[in-house]
Amino acid sequence: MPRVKTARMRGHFGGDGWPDGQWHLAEVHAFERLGRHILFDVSSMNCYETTPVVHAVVDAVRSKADGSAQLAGGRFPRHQIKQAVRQLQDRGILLPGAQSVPRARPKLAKRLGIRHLELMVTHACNMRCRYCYGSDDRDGWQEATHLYGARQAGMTWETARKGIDFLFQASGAQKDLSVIFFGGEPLVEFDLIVQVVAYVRDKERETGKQVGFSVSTNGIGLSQKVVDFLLAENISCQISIDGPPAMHDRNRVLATGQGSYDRVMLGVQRLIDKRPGRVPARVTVTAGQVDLPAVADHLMSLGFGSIHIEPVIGTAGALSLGNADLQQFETQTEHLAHYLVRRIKDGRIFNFSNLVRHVRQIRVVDQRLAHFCGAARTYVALAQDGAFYPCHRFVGMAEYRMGDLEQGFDDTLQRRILDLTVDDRPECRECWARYLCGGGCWKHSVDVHGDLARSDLESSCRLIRHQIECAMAINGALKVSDKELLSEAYERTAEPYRISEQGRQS
Amino acid sequence: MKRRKVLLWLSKAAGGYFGAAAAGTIPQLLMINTVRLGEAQAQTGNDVPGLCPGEFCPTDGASGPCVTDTCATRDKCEPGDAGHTCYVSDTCDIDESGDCRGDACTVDSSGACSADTCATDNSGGCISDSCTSDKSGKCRSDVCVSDSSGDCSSDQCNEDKSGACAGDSCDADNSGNCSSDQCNEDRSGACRSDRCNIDKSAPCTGDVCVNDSSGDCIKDVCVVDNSGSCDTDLCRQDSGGPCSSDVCASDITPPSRADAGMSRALRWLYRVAMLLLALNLAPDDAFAATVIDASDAMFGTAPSFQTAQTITVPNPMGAFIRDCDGDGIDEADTNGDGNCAGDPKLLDYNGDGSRELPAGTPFSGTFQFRCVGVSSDIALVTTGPVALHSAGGAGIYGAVFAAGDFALTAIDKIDLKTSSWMADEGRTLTFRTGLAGVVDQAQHDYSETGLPNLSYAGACGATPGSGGQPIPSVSAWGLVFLLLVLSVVAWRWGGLRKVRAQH
Repeated sequence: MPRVKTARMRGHFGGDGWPDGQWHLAEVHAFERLGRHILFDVSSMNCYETTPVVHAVVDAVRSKADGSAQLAGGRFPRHQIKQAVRQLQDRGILLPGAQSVPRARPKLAKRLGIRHLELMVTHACNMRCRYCYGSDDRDGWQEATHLYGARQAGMTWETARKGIDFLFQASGAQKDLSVIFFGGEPLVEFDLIVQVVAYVRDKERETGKQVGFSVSTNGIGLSQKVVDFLLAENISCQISIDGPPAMHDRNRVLATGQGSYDRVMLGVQRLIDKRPGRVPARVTVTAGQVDLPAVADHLMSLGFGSIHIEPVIGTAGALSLGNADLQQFETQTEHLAHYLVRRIKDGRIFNFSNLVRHVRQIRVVDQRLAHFCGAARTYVALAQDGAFYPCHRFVGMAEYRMGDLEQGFDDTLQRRILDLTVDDRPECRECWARYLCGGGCWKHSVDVHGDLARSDLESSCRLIRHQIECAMAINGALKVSDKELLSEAYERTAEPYRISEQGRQS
Repeated sequence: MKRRKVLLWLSKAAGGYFGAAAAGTIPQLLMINTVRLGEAQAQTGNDVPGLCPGEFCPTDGASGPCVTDTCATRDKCEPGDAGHTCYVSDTCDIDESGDCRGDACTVDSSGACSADTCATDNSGGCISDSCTSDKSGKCRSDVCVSDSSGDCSSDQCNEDKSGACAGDSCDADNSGNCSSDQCNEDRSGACRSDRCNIDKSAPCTGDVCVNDSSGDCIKDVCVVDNSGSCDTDLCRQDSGGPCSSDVCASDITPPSRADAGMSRALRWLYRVAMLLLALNLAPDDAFAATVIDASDAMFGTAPSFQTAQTITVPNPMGAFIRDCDGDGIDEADTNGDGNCAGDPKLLDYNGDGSRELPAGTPFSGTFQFRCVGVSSDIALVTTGPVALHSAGGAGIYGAVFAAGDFALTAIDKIDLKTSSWMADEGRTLTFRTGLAGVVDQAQHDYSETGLPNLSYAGACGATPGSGGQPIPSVSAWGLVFLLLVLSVVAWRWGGLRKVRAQH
């Protein structure tokens, strides 16, 4: 965006500090969060910490009212208004004339090329979490098969091997690949995981490619043998845990219906002892159980390296967060944001990845996301029956099947998703956060609207926008060195595919 | 230039405000995502005013929605210090709250606690407490130094005085009604299948302990046996009175007829073997290859050795003992299927310094292996008739207790050096090899503590887990050389004695 500097274009200022003539705003989002005034220029992706007078000027222009009338109330001195206007003009935010033509949109990079494979090694699980989307019967969750829509639980070695062959072949010239073991509870198939890792190591030597591994587990299967293996093979391991015992045991129960906290902690502590400060925790929050500080405090005391808290939203019935819960979630997120800032000023890290992810992303000014995640484009899930899906959440949904190992990969859905950038989706293209959000989880869109192109405005979009606002305010509060510390901490604990995906999207 | 200096001076004098304003440089917009432009405006950021959430204010102990309070006496989450709405991890010296969970406190008097961690637990309905002293009446799975609870099960404590314990793991067990205890010292009256360092329980059966002082043991496997009426014990040292059929390195028991007969037979065999060896007066096959090496082996039941047998092993299934899953721990293929699944691990389960199968592991049947190797630190207990067939050689150096007939058949050499064998009455021990040659049953003067550690190095490769070296067999030329040396030594020694006698 060229800077507008000529005196003619700046206009002449009246007695109240307001420029003569007609003006309009670039696409900006001005807000106050965590006690800071922030202005985000969507076109340039520049993010500013501002003053109340700048916000007043932006509000006045946006309201199309007579600026002089609004600002003459003595709230701000004339010279401050004049400075604010000039600086907005200098940064191409306040533009002369009326907005008549649609704004030009940047060309978004559409990234394509499979290099992350999610292996659904099993759909069997030793737990029966009440919110599990693997269950096909929420009312009878305890008796449900938890197979998503699939008909069998385990993946055979033959299917896994062919899946790995597919990854190496489909990734073409790309060198950095990743394999994610998912389930069910993937450690139920530990022997298969060992076999896959050995096979991949051979393929690495053959091809010169490198593969990062990660596994998402409920922690029950983390025996010493498994932990030793994860360490030896440098496999990233994310633990699903919902906080202190009372909160955790409410939804994360064993097949017997008993809480799983005590069982889980045996293995989790074993892993944390070996990887202090490097084990990520993934927390699921359900309706009526929103207590993020308690969760964060507990998990930090256990020695987790990062905490990601995901609310149940969408179509999970009584477990989904309602409006009151969402408000509480936002308020408590801000508490944690304050805490994050205080803590890092004390030289300590609080890796609350819901926010740190965006803090890291916002720091880099010229990064625009076209999509929320790599599902279907760079990332694909291989179900136990050999079928491909965009990610684990879609497994078993026939209309989102992307071929299989026998018939071959079907790229129809891939091409469709590739073309559904944030500038192509009706709700996203009007949203100020689109290039930072990428459009939200595809599965949420399908759950709420039955349509990939739509967005879950009421809950998913709302929470993401709020988190981005908090992250921008945090960015304003932190020194560059602090942000670098946070970014490093994030990289230490995030899954390899997430790092590479975020680092390379533009 | 002068004008700029004046402006600068004014700027300083007015605290920057006036001068900066005059120059038009007050930043109204500070860019905060600066990486691309490299501006890196270091913003210190002021402390954010507003909320100071109670969750993270250690001094804010009286705030409304408390979580993880730290307090000196009791919860302060509610007016009146009642503390009844706390539910998450209180940390306090004294917890009197009624519905706490996961408390960490010095004294816990709460009534409905679970998973408490405290020095003293007086709560009535605890489960899975970890405390120094547990006086709760209805505990389960307690971990405590002293457990006085009356209704415990599976306790882990230093001293267990509970009356109705089962499966206790404690240093000293005084409980009256234990079974399957694992403790350093067991004084319980009615134990069975105890595993302890010192067993003083009276009517024990099948104990596995380092020191057994029980009066009425049967089939004990122990290092030192002081039991009074032992029978078929397998131990390193037996001090028990009227023992019979003991297999031990050092037997201090008054010799019974059977023992005396066996000792005499063993001594006779030993002397004959040594005589044959020293004088090289053995028959023609004295230099023939040893095909069954039973030197320094102890047999509680007389074995049968058969050489030059016609042996076929059509479907061998791998090695009998091997580290099948690569975790550094050997597994035994006790079902003979050649697969890892379900194979028990050989570990020192009872803490006696040797490895064994998990208690109760079924081990009987007919098996075909590529080779059979049992290193000297392994003790195997069969549960019925066992016939092991090896398509190669076999080496058993450890201890075997045969509950049924035991037969080891190998196409190649069988090595039983230093092994210990024991069998139920009437059971047979049979060793067959396809090779023709000598059976070596020589006894050397090994002390119990000086026995070498042996591991099998046969067709299956070395068996991991034992760092010992095999005893080298004596070659024919080596034996000739040894005899020459011994003859010279004997001649010189005899000569010296004569010289001394003359003086």
